[in-house]
Amino acid sequence: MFGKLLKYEFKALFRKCVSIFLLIVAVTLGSAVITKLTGSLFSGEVNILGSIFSLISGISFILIAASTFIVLVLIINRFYTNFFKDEGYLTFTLPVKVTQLYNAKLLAGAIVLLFSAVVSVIVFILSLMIISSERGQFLNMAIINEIGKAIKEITGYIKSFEVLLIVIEIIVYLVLTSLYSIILFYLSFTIGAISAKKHKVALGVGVYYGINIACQFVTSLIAGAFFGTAAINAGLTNADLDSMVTVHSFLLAMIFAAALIATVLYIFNIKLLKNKLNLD
Amino acid sequence: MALLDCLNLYKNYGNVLALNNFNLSLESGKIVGLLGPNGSGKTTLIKLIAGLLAPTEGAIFIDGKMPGPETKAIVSYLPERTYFSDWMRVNDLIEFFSDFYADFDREKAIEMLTRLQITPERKLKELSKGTKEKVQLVLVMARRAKLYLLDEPIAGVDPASRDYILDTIISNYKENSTVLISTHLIYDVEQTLDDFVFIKNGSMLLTGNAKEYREQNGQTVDALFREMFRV
Repeated sequence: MFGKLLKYEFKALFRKCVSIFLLIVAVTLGSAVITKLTGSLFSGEVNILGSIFSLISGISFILIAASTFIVLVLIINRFYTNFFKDEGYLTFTLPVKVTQLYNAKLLAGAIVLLFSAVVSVIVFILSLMIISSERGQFLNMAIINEIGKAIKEITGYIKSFEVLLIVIEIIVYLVLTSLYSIILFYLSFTIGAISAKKHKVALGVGVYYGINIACQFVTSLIAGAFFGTAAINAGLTNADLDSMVTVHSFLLAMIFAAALIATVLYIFNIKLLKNKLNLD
Repeated sequence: MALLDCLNLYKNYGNVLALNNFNLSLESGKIVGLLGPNGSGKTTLIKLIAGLLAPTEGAIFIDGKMPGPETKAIVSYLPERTYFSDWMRVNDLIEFFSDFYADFDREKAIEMLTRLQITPERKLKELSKGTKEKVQLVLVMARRAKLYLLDEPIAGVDPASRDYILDTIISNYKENSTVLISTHLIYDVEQTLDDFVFIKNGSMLLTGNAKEYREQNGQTVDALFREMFRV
């Protein structure tokens, strides 16, 4: 059943997000091509047309930056509509556990968010390749070579087990924080939906800020317990960062804090859905 | 063993008591009317049985099990509103029900939709509100469920649609299934019902067999309802 739930989640999310992905690709690559063409036609001249196209390309870069946020909004919207609006009458009468319903939304949301970030990065690199290409060329392949070199340098640096461990810790931390961010949004909008009679979404947003502050406080307490509050307040010095043990301790503290908070929020959210759900 | 047992049920919404020590036991093979005025607790009771709400106190057993995935697999629920995503096609819904409900009869659903002249390729957003409600009823009744929960299935529909809905219910439920229909429009459903349950202020007021009542008292259940719930 979990596989079927996941299938319908992906179907619904990609249907919502596909227009955003297409818009980003079209606007960004389109403006990159136009910027390139106008740049070749009007090189050396200050002209209005060139300024307009510079503006368009600026907007397209903003769009790339905003796309992940827009996708996040769509993921939250899917969660809210499918759980707390009329669709909830079907969702919560399916012969599956509440945890399965929730996990399918969480996993699909995290994967779609990651996918949107990857699309943004690829589109960004492609537009850079178009803009910086030489006359008579469409794509500047040198950028790919530069990226390849950078990756080689990084992988070359990760020869020692210690550095590899740090990279793994950073990846685990990033995955955990993405899940934790989605759970935080889901929980906030769950509280908004089950607590308020009107302005449920507004309450959800308010709850989000409240819980977020509390979570940051707990994170700093946990990190403080690992390092001592003074060290956190003062910030880590270069000398501290030189010590691998300190970096490990810091990352492990952050991983522990993110995992702990995510688990607590997750359990609380499931409990609310099981016991306090009341569809309008 | 009863198909449905509601034992000492209480449900509070804050300070409002929606169900007050409600008790009910239903056997298999009956069409039962859950009859009461607006705000009497009908929808709350149905939501509790469907597993959409948790009781404040008391317990519910469906085929011996408490509400959960196992009971949802044998309960077919028609809420008082349409719950479809507008972007879906009728086909998508048939696929969805086939995927999640082992007791869903796809051929029967297609046959019923064809009789309504609704092609499975139609998009839901192209359908009128009334047609969407009929599609929902078809999907719910195309399941071979043990218990059907129909919340106000005939409220707000025209007389011709009422006939279609009641015909669909009668012709599709099976001898070993039970149908619980909540409504305040008793006149329209009375001839369909085997048993009736009167509910008021969250408590059960009266229960009985509709035919026996009419024979013994010389008046309809509808007339009794009007007497008991006169404002």
